[in-house]
Amino acid sequence: MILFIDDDPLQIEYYVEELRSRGLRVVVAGSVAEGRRCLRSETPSLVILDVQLPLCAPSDLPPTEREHAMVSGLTLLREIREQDPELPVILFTVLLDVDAAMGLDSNTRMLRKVDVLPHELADLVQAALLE
Amino acid sequence: MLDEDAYLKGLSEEDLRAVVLIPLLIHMGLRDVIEYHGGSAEKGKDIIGHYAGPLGDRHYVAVVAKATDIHGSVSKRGSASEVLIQAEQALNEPYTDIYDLKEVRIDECWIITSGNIKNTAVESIRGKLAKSNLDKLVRFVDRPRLIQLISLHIPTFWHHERILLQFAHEMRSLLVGIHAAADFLRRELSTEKRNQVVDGIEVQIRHAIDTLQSWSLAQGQSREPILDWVDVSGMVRKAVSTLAHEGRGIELQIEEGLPKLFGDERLLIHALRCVLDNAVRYSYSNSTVMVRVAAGAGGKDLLIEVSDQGIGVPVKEQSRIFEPGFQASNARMVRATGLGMGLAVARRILSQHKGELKLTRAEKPTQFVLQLPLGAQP
Repeated sequence: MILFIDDDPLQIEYYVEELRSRGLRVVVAGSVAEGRRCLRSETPSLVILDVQLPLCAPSDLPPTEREHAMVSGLTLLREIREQDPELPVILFTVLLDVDAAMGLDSNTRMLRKVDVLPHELADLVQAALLE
Repeated sequence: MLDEDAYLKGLSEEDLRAVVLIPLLIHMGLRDVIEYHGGSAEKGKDIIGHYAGPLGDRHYVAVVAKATDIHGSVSKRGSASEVLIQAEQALNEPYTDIYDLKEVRIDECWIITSGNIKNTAVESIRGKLAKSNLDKLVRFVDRPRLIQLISLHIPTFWHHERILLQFAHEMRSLLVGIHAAADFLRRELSTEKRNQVVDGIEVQIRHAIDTLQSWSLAQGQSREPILDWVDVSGMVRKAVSTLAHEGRGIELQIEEGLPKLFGDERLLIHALRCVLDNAVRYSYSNSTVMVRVAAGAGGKDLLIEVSDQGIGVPVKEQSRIFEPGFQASNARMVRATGLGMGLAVARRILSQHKGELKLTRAEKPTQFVLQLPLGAQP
């Protein structure tokens, strides 16, 4: 199963469709909170992770004030790595100022959405799954 | 978020002069500020301006602008020796004031860099200039000091740059979705699926156009409204029809027999879409945004109420939600995108029509009311 964590459904719709059309099961999570839930309940073979993510979906927002932290997919990446250093992760972002050389481990790869079309992402995911 | 250090570090020398230094010097009160770099008469002076001395005389300032760290010693090749040569030239070579064509001497030389300046370089440059008594005429400004000066003299500078970055991010996000959908159309697809993809592309292009239009309007590029009689029901339905609502419903209640409105239909649709987009964007999944359209008491006004079951607006921030670029603190927690322009733009359009946009209930359900005057009918 591929876990696709991204908060923009319109932007990723055809990336997800392309992956599904190749017979891959894809679960989409739209926030850090949802991503955490999926990571607890599912065992993905690969995670595609947006870098700039909201903390939660509107429906998850608690009535009390919560710490307003800078939310980042990189926080989630650290949590994933604590659990599983081997799980292939693709950081998938429209941000241009995230440095690819920021010390990513060998199982994490960074792709910029502006550079990668749906069929190219699907090729890369399939290749990563075969490794 | 904009990192001020990284922003300045990323600028070329040309952009540093044009985007940062010239506006900064003008805001600091220098007059007749011109970019002098590159001309044959440059002689070390990248930017020139002047300010009035205590006796009303002009004090000429030459700026040596650098986009690199200044380090090393003037006795060796390196940035310090280059800066020294420029500073000496700037102070020694007279300047012909292009406004009154008088030859004048430069009174001060400001060495400004978007990089860092090593103390050893400052000492070395000052030491060399002291031999010709020019050392007191030189001032150094490094990146931390430059950030302070910008914040002090152009308080809106960082805010504006942040909005620009956010705007570029928003447009990239939309175009990525459109590009991906176009790529998907290359596949063999059923007619039904193909139409679905094309509909999706249309929604995203509509969204991009809205974003661009809001941006232009927020930058003050508002045109005078082109006024005509507008059918209210048709206008509201058009505003709703092309809105990307991601599964969240919009329920319309339009009073029958509403009089026509005298206004600019395109601008009013844009204003309504800005308010609706906001309501949809921050609503819970599977909730409904209610739009009620009716004439107000006495029939003098048209009232469009937009209510959503969304996240609400924090009490402390309610007075700021119409500021361009402002996003409530809880908004960022549920959506990583958005410019915070929509409500500001909508309010401006309403005001152009002698109407008002009001937040009438900030807690859940949040309610905005667009109020527009209904004049004599055609």
